[in-house]
Amino acid sequence: MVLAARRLLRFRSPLHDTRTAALLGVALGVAFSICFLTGVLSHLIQQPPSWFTWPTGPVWLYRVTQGLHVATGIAAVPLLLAKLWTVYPHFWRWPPADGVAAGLERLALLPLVGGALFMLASGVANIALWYPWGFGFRDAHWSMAWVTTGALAVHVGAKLHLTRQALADRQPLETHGGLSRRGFLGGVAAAAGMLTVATVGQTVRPLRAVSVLGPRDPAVGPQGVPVNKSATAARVREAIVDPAYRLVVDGAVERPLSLSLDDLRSLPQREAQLPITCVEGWSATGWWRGIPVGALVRMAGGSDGAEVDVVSLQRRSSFRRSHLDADRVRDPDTLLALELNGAPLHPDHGFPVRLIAPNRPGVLQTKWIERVVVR
Amino acid sequence: MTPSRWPVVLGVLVGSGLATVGVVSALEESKPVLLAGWVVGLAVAHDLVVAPVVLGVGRLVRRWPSVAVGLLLSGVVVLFAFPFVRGYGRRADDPSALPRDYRAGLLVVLAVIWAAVALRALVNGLLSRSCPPRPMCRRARWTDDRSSS
Repeated sequence: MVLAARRLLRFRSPLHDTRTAALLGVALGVAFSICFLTGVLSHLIQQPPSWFTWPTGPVWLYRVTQGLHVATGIAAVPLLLAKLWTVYPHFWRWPPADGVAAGLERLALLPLVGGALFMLASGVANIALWYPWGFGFRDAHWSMAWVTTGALAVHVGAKLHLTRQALADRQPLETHGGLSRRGFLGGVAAAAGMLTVATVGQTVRPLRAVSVLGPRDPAVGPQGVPVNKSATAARVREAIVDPAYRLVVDGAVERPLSLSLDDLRSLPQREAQLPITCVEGWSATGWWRGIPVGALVRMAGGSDGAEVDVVSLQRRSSFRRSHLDADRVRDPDTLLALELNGAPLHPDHGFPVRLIAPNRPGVLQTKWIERVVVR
Repeated sequence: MTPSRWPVVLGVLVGSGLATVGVVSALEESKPVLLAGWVVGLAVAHDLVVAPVVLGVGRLVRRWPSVAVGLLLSGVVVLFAFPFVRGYGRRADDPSALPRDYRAGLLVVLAVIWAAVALRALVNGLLSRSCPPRPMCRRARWTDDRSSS
């Protein structure tokens, strides 16, 4: 095995050099940093600790940060593969390490390489809605993000000197008629650009026609808006058409309310143009019409500055209950929507009533609402 | 320039802190052993299967840089498009999930790649024939490395 590998490597390309590795490493470091920061941000928005508040505006902010998270991860696929190819001869270095420190540094490469491959593979599989493993995507992607970033910090610290030297050393590389460094790096950049163009139309609407590999098309779905969980998948098909349906507003209120669909339709409505933004990186803007949550809270006699939990008819889901902080409750564009793009909500968009609030992930825009708990 | 020790020390301190958060989180998860298996498995699959194959193919095409770049682009896009083309995530109840014909999309991207490779090879061939003194053809050939400039 080792001998065969060494024979293969004997005729290796001059591109397995330190400068090529350093240039790719810097690009990859930037890409992984963007992914880590936007990913942690998205996690904080979904499960906010007490010290964290996420503003209600600008309404497009989460759409940009999460779109960037997914787009950067996709663009990092060719960067990572090229980087691993460039440094691959070191994998067969003999002896494997000289000294304890170097050995530990090499050991840290296992979580770095395995972790980086896992982050990109699991991310791509997730946007393809493919779950070939036996564990939950979100927890695994989150845990490995910290492990990989930790291993990356060790690696950057260990290689900083070498990288700076390599970046300062602008000696041309003799490639004897083979692929040049510029050609190689240009090809890698072209691959990153190509994957970006082929997918980013899932959130940048004008590019939807050229994004032939986009996991979503922002114009395809019921009422021209994509759906992540259908009414069938959520097992609410019967509950949402039950004539006994009432929206209950209770909790810390003076007058608890119980409103039928007709009651809801007769209340003053407001229209807002807001994006639905999925954590999977797609987004689509819709015109939503419904009752501001704040107005409903005032109607029930809740206090100004009240926080609200919105609860779905959906029984088994970790996103069944969505919390709205006081700022979002006050924002007039935080709606209990009855209509999308001029028509009553499609069952898959949350009929009879769904939550739509500015600048937050789609998983928190709870559908098929049955209860508003004022706190 | 002697390498300073502080980036190494700082990297280990910061890195082990970050990694600890991840390990603790992974242990709270129900299947940390399975997760570790995937991580190690991906690294092994890359190092012992994917990388040797790519290296071998690279050797075969080392005299044709344009072809090498075309294969690089094609390999990346095929790898990325694989789960979409296979349609593992398709759902009968949600036609807006994976709504496109990804097989056709992949073929279009591959056609664009190889058309670009052919065009570039053609242009390079014409340029290198029409202006032999190399400094005159600064951007004409990608077999010359000028990343130093």
